Parts: sequence; C-alpha cells; structure tokens
Amino acid sequence: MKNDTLHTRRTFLRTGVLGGAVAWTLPVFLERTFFALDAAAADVAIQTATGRDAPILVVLQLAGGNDGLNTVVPWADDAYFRARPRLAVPADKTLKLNDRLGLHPRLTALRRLYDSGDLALIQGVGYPNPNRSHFRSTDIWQTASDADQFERQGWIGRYFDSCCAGEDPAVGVSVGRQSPLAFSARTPKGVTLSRPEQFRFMAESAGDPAATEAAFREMNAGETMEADAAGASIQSLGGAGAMVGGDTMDYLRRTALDAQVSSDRILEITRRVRSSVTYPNSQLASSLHLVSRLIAGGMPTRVYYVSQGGYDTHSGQAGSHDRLLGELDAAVGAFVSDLEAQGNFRRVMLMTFSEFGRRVAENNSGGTDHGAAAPLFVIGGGVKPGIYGRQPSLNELVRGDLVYNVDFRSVYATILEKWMTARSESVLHRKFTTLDFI
Amino acid sequence: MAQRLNPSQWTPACAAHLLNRAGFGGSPAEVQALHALGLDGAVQRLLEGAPDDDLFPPPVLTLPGEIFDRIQTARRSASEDAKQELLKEGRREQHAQIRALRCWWLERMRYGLHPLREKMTLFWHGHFATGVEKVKMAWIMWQQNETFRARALGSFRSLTKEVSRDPAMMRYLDLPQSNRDKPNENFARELMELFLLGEGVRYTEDDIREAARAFTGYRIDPRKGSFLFLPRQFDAGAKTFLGKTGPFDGDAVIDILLAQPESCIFLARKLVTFFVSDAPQPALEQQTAATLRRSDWVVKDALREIFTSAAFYSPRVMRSQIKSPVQWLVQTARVLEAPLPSQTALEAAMSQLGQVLFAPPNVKGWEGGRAWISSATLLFRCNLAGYIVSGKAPEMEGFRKGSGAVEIPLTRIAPPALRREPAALCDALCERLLGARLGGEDRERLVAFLGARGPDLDDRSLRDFLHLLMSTPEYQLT
Repeated sequence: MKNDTLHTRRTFLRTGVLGGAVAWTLPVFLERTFFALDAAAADVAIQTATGRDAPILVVLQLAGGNDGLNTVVPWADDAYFRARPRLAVPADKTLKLNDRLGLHPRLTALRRLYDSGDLALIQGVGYPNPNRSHFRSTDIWQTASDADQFERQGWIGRYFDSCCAGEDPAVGVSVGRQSPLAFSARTPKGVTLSRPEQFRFMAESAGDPAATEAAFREMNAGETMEADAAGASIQSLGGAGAMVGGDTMDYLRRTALDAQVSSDRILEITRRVRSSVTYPNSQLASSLHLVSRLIAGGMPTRVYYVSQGGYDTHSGQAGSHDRLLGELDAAVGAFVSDLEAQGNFRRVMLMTFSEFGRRVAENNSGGTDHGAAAPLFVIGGGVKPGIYGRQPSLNELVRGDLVYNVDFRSVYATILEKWMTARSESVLHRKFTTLDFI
Repeated sequence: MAQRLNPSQWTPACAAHLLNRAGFGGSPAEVQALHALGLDGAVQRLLEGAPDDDLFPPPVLTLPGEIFDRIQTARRSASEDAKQELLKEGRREQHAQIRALRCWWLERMRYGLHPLREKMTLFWHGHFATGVEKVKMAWIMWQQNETFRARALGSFRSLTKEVSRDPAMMRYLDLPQSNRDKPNENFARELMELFLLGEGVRYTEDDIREAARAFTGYRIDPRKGSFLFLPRQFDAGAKTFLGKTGPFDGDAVIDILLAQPESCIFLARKLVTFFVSDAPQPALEQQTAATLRRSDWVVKDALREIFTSAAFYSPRVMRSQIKSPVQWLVQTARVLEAPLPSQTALEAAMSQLGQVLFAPPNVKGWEGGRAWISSATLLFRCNLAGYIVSGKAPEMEGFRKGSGAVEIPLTRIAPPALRREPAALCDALCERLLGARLGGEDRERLVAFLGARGPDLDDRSLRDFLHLLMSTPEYQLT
C-alpha cells in the first residue's frame, strides 16, 4: 500500500539519513518530496520545477475594484461620455488600440507591450450573478468558485495540491505580510515575505548568537509531524488537562519550519542578484523588483503573487485613478525590461485581476461604485497578442453594470492548461473553455 | 444558560486564561489575585473594572475647527506652491498626532484599570472598522475610540446608532456625500454585510438601495467635527425595506435589522470567535445569542455568559488562540512587568505584524486567527522578541540603533536563588511566559541551554533564554 511505503520511507529518512537524531525532525518540504516520489509512482501529475526552465506565473491583484472602463476606454461610444460627464477620459487623450478602444493615457508601457506583441487584453471578464461586496467577490476570484459556493481552498493552492506535491515551500511566493486566499491549500504551501533582509531569525542581538540560533532551530523543529501531538509537550498548570493546540500549533510549527528552510536561500539570492534596471519608487515596484531577483536567482517558484491597493474609488476618482494606473504601468514596465535583460521574459507570464469593475455611471461624489465585468491584461513572452472577449455593451446593463462575456475561470483554465501544463479540471472542478491568448 | 464552569474547576490556570482573553494577561501576582476572587468574583472584577480616565489624558489633538480654518487659509494662499506646502504641513501634523494616539491607546491597554473595556474597544474597532487614511483627522478618530470605550459593554443597539452618526465612520463610508437625489450605498451595504447580519443574509441589492435612502441627509459640521442632520437632503419618502414599508430614517432601518433573527447569532458568533475560539462553538454561540436577545443587546450580559461557561475553560480553548499583534505587544509587556517599547518600535512592529491601530486593512477589519501568521510575520515576531529582551535593534525596517531599550526587571523575574536551579528557572519562566510548563524534549533542551551557561546565570544569558522562549510557536498562542 502507498501509505505503508510512505511511512517506511519517512522512518528511513529520520533514522537513516539524519542519523536518528532525536532532536531533529523532518522539514515539511522534505517529507513532501518523499510523498512526491510515492505519488510519482502512482502516476499523479507532479511537476518539479528546477528554477531554470519551468514556466512562471505572476499574479498581480489590483485590490479595491479597478475601474475597467477608464482603464480600457471605449472612446468611440457616446454612451460612455453620457454616463461619465465628469470622469470620462477624453477620446483624444487615450492611447488608441483600434477604432473603438484606447488605453488610459498613463498606460504607456502597456501600450508598448501591446505594440511589441507581448500583451493580450481580455475584455468583459466576470462571472454569473456578480457580487458587489469587495470581500465576497475577492474570495470568488481567489477560490475560482461559483458566486453561490463557498470554497476554502484557493485556485493556486489547488494547483499546488494537484501538481506540486513534494515541492519545496517556496513553490509559491507572495510578497506582502499576508498569504493570499488564492494560495490556501489542503497541504499548506507558499512563503510570504515583504523584506528579504528581514526574512530570517536574527540572533545577533543575543549574548551568545550561535548558541541561541542553534537552540532556536531545535525548538522550532518540532517533535513529530502528527498534528495533535505537536502541542502535547506542554503540561498544564493546576492539572486541567494537557494543552491541545491541535491544528493551530501544527500550523505554527510548519510555518516556522518553512520559513527557516526558505529564508537562507532567499537571503542569499537577494544579496547576490542585482538588477540592471532602475525601478520606480512604489510599493508595487519594489514587490516586482524582488520577484525579478528571485527569478534571476533561480528560485524553484512557480507562482508569485503581488498586489497594489487603493482602487476603491468611491469619491474623487479622477486624480487617484490616474496615479494608480501610472504607478502600475511604471512598475510593470520596469519589471518587463528587467526580465528581458535577464533573458527570462519568455518564461514569465503576468496576469492582472481585480475583484470587480465599477458602475458605468459615475456617482455624485466624483467617483464610481462597485460594479461587475472588467478587462484584464496578460503579459509575457509567451502570449498571443491581441484583444480577446468583447467590449460589453454600455446600453445593455444589468443593475447599472456591464455584463461579462468571458468567465474569469476560462482565463485561469487557459493559463493552467497552456502555460502551466496542468490539468485545469482538477484545479477548477470542471471544464472551462480555454481562450486563444496563449 | 450555557453550562457553567464547576467552581471546583476554577484554578490559577483558569484565572490566567481569563486575564489573557478578557484582557491582556498579567504577572503571576496579578493572576494569583484574580484567582483568589473565585470564578464569579473574578468575572465581575473584569466586567466592572475601575475608573481610569484621569490616568490617561489624551495627546494634544488639533480640533476640527482649527483644521477647517487652516484649509480655508491654504485655499486663499497666493501661490499653488504655498497652498500645497500648507496642506502638506497639516497632513504631517495629523500623521504625528495619530501616532501619538496609537501609543496612548497601547499605554491604556498596558496600564489601564479596566482591561476588558480596552479589549472590547479593540473589538469594536475591528467590528466597525474605520481607517485614518481616509478619515484623515486624528481628533475624529479619537472621538470614535471614546465612543467605543464609553459603550464598550453597553447596548449594541445604542452603539450601532451612534456609529451611524459617528463622523469618522461617516467619512470612511462616504455618508456625507449621500443625498436624496443620489444616495451613496457604501454605508448601507456594510451595515448589513459587516455590522449587523452577514453577507447576503436576508437582504437583497434592493434592500441596500432602500436603506441607503434612509441614511441621506447625514452631514458633519466642519467646525465642530460633529454630526449634523440636513432635513432637505433627507429622502423622507416611503421605503420598502426587508418586507416593511414606511418613511424610515436611519435609526428605523437599524431597528428593523436588529429585529431579524440572524442578527443576534451574527454578533454572538463574532464575540465567541474573538474571545473563545476560531473553531465553531455552536452551543455557546446559541446561548450568547439568546442572552443578547433577552437583554435587548446588553453586551455585558453576553460576556458574563461566555466567561463563566465551561466551554470557555475547556482544554481545547485554553492557550489555543493566536495572539493578535496588539495582544502580543501588550501581553509581552505585562508578563515581563516591563514598559512598552518606544513609539518608533511600536509603530514598526504594528506595521510589520499587520495590525496598525486606527488603520485596519479595510472596512472588514482584521481577519485574525491564522491570518496573523505567515512565514514573514512569524520571523518578525521572533526578531521583535530579540529586540525587546536585548534592547539591540537588528536590521529591521523602522528600527534604528538606539530605538531605545526596554527595561525588564530581570531580578524580579529571575531572582538569584532561582538562577542556580536551571530546571526550576525554566519552569518558572515557562509558566510566566507561556502559561504552562513545557514537558518532554523541549524542556530538556531548554534546561540544557541554561545549564550550558554556567552555574550562576548572568543577565545576558537570561536575556538569550527569554528570547528563545518568546520565539517558540507556543509563545504565539494565548
């Protein structure tokens, strides 16, 4: 039986490879590697990334609900100017893509990528029965669920579960403080960091740094992989029964261990690798700068996750949306130049998304309210350039919102199948039509 | 009534647990004193607290009228540059004031005489989340904080109505821009989704639109920074809301929402998650909901129910909650009987650990639970512990050499006699910091670590040991 093999191998590794060191235990990712060997024998679609050749996906979240209509402007449509007397981008200011559509004037780098054949624009992306809550709609996008279904695992997490069992925890890296719901998986994976130089245990403040660090590693190694036994080493006061940290304690121990094994490598890479490109000064730019160095340094990461916030423009949208798009454009532009200089652009694909677009009509506060369908961009050396999907009609609205014609899960399915060479059905639970942008 | 804890099971560990969850923990002496009161006495002590307003005068905050005048002056300035400079100066000042306000509140959690009221104030800040980046005025944020404090344990009905007229909340959710011709839906939506019912429970998009009409005419007096009602901007027409029709105003909408059967369980669940456990506690949630309904929303009654229940003291619940960053900071100071770190260190810690007071990530507040812990924040907690016990700032964002050392009374925590007994010292410090003794190999390793440092443990070694204990997964729990 498979489980017997796994058990034997685990025991072997503990007692054999590590010399039976009682104080040490198996790092979670090593155990996964052994699980992967078993799974490979059982013909599960495991993908092993070497860090040099595998395709990489970068997911860029525009948090807050980006105004799609002012991002890709239907400049020839009178209905657009009627709905947005104050907020419409003047037709002559847009960066024209064709006789109907133009990019927001700040999106100059994206326009260049479109011209050079490295950008696909997908129009009218959304899902049936759209939800106007930020939180709920973000969850729907992150878990790839139907609007009335509640999923605990994220779509990237399910990809990790079905294709990356046994990979090291850094198969997913999210830049920030919180791991996104999209990464949530049955077997938790993914490393979260904001500043690489802080991503390590610092013992130099200690009186005896070496001893303190060694003890730290031991204390965080854990007794056993079994979930409920992990907390059992604490005895209670007053005899009210043993401490049962249960899943939470197991989660803490695994996170500590994953952090420990990834931190040395990430630190080494960020100290060694320098970019030849100067990045602008924004949080998104420094996130993408970090991603580019990790790619150059050969991290075995398959999915990176970065985000830019501030798109919830209920009031005073004009200036703030210009600034946001300008920041986005400059950061992505620098990132692409950097990857090109490294020679890695052909194996990286970047996808933007936002939880929803905004209402077609502007509101009374110089802003726009939560809406539905919107465009998204896919950028990379491997895209088939062009415009996919249709610009939703501004005259056939539902509750004042644009109607989608591309299900966002079709975009995911396309990327999973054609870029990550994964079976999309096992990740998305059913078959979605793939598109031609790859 | 939920099943009560049998008084014979009231132990010092129970008292420590109560102090951790209903407050921010405490020293062994504080735990002992609480234990001596017995279960009901201890719960009563926490529910009542002691007056401490006079001990915490707020920092100097610019009044709205003055800010208003300054903006008027800026608008009239000769050049665009001069205007921008004046506005920038104002923003800088507000920034400094909100930082001072954060410290003021943390100090109040650290030293206040009514810890449960501060904890509930923190709960309401997360429930009715409002962020200064949009509100922009420290004084208004402080006013909201005082509203939460004054109503912390009182009627949820009154609190919700006050919050709907609270200038910080109004600014945060765009109420002052809402008028009869174009009602803004932002507040009405969150009132149902986040404050009173839960996403998609009973209401439809039509209900949101109708409710938004009821909250029109709400304005802020710019000179006083207080609520102002403009009758001519109010839509006095009939609204159909959740099956009822009438010329409802905002308070009527809140009353209709609170009459929905789901509203009690919604708040009960949030309270139980915050104070007891992330894992569902259906029986306790139902009991708490029933108490809220029976008492017409008196929060104090619901909390008494929770803190005297057997479920609250179950072994599955004790020491199983991930400390929020604020809990970590304040509880650390309290168990070490030490002051809080410096303002710069606190600011950096809150930001890196993901809980900046007066700046929740969005209107949903902080997610809490496991979301507090990622590989990044877990490592940062360990490094922050190193800074607190050693006073030496490692190369961490926001920290500078000389960010200021925290004075820890090492002799009180580890008296000389105890330092000669590695095993006893290990147990005493584990009880103080982790709320329990360690067993098995972890204890052996720690005792060996102490033993290796020689017979008379010096302060440096003691600091290393504290750093180690505070870097364990166990220390992240309370």
